[in-house]
Amino acid sequence: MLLAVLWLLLGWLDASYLYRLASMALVFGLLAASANLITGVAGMMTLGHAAFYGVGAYTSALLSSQYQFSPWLTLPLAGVTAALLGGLTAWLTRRLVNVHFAVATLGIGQAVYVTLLNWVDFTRGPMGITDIAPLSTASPAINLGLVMLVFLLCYLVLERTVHSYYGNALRALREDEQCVAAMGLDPAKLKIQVMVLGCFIAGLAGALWAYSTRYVSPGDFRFSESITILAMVVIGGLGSLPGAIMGALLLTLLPELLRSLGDYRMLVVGSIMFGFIMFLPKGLIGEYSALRVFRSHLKALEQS
Amino acid sequence: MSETLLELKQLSLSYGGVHALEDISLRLPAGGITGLIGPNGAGKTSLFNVITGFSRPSRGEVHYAGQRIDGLPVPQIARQGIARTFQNLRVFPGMTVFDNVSIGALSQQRFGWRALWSRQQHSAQAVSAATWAALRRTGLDGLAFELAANLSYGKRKYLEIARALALQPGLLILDEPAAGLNDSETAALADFLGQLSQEGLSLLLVEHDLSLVKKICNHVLVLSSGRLLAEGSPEQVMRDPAVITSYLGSEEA
Ligand SMILES: Nc1ncnc2c1ncn2[C@@H]1O[C@H](COP(=O)(O)OP(=O)(O)OP(=O)(O)O)[C@@H](O)[C@H]1O
Ligand SMILES: [Mg+2]
Repeated sequence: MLLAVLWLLLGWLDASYLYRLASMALVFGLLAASANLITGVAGMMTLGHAAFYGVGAYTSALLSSQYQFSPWLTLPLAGVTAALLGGLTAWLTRRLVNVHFAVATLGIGQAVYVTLLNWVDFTRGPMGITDIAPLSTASPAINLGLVMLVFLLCYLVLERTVHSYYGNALRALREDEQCVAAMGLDPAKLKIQVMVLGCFIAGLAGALWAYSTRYVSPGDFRFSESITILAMVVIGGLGSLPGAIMGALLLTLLPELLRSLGDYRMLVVGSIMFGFIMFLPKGLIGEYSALRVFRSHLKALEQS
Repeated sequence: MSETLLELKQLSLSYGGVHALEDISLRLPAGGITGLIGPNGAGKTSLFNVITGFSRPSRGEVHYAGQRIDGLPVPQIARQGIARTFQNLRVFPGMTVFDNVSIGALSQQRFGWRALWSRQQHSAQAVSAATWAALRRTGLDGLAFELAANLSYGKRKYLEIARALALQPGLLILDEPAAGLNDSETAALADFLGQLSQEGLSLLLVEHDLSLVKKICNHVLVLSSGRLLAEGSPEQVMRDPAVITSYLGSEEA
């Protein structure tokens, strides 16, 4: 509903800058929401989310520009490639404790970035890949609508995952892995599943990014991007899905709104982030409040 | 005596050079409450860890309900019906009481993906039914939507038991359930454990409070320096001279 209003509003304003901004917000919304699943809900500190995002973006960019795949075919393929890498990472690190997992994902992030940068024959290195076809040849408004559609589908999947019983198992994994095992659930399996799903969505977000900007370069997938995504999750509220979306909106739109400040812009953004953490350590919407909202029907049902 | 529920055969466990358990063989009949006592560092927790798969024995076998379980992964042993609590109280503090207990219900009842992925209280009725049953059983149903971290210490102890009960185990293993409770709380716990046993659940518990052991256990195992020193009824065991010198004497019971 909100998305439809946004879409109509942007159509009315008809500014390509705004389209770009809106798709950026949606892409980062997906990145923050999927990183929230991994780090906020399941408690696996990922410092390399941009790598899975980048793998998705390059998969779709290369498949469509070099091999003339249809964009709609490359979207799932981008997700699958990123999910495979994520699943492999989780499988290799399944016995490690959280700090080690964080360093492992940091390593994956660096490895992917360096590969994108230096495998010039395949990725065209720092020049990046230009002239990627758009999602559809119709108007930019239609393209934005399609991005919204994918966003919505992913959001629904995440919403269900986070608020289901399965979501409980993931939160329990974050709280005490050994206890989860003692209750008959396999922590290694949960970790692999959560990375596969989270990285699939990050890969999709990468593909959407490639088709919206029609240009990708390694710089979009640096370590600093992983950290920005993490900041969105923390500012929104670790473990809270609506919080992650809000955090993403805030950190993509704020720098744009403050453009007039020129050189002081990032300083102000940094200070605002600092303020949020100081005064709202649980985030814009804390996990507990978010769960309460999504499960408000629970109490009513119990009473009946 | 009824059929054997748990059997240990020549079980040994060593941590590097430390022999935590040495050559332990015993049979636990189904039903009843078995108490495991022994001085600090005797190997009681180590024995629980071997039974539940947290430690691999260096020698020997563990059989549960006729099946060999040593060497199996922890979750699989739990799904076969052995639930445990921990000596240092371990709940999921950042989750609600209901959500804590639902974790126990999830693994026992293999509903498949649809139920696992459903919203609470909707199609996965069986998960929520098992969760509510365990909550009512422990008197925590009124606190279902509280965060576990906000519960008192005594309530959190019940929460840990409720989570284990939701697994619908055949054997419940409790590591010092009464530790940290006051006298009236301990008495209430004793009644509660007695009721669980009457309902057919087998219990194995470590307890330092010997009067509690005398009151509720019908079988007692005494461990000392990793060896099984004595076993029998509470009266028998506490009259045993070896037990008195090695354990009771030192603790002045
Ligand atoms: N992870 C470990 N590594 C090395 N040694 C250990 C380990 N766990 C236990 N031990 C040693 O094994 C022996 C048995 O310990 P255990 O915790 O089983 O005793 P316990 O009977 O449960 O004692 P308590 O009454 O204090 O709980 C002790 O000597 C202890 O120091
Ligand atoms: Mg112990």
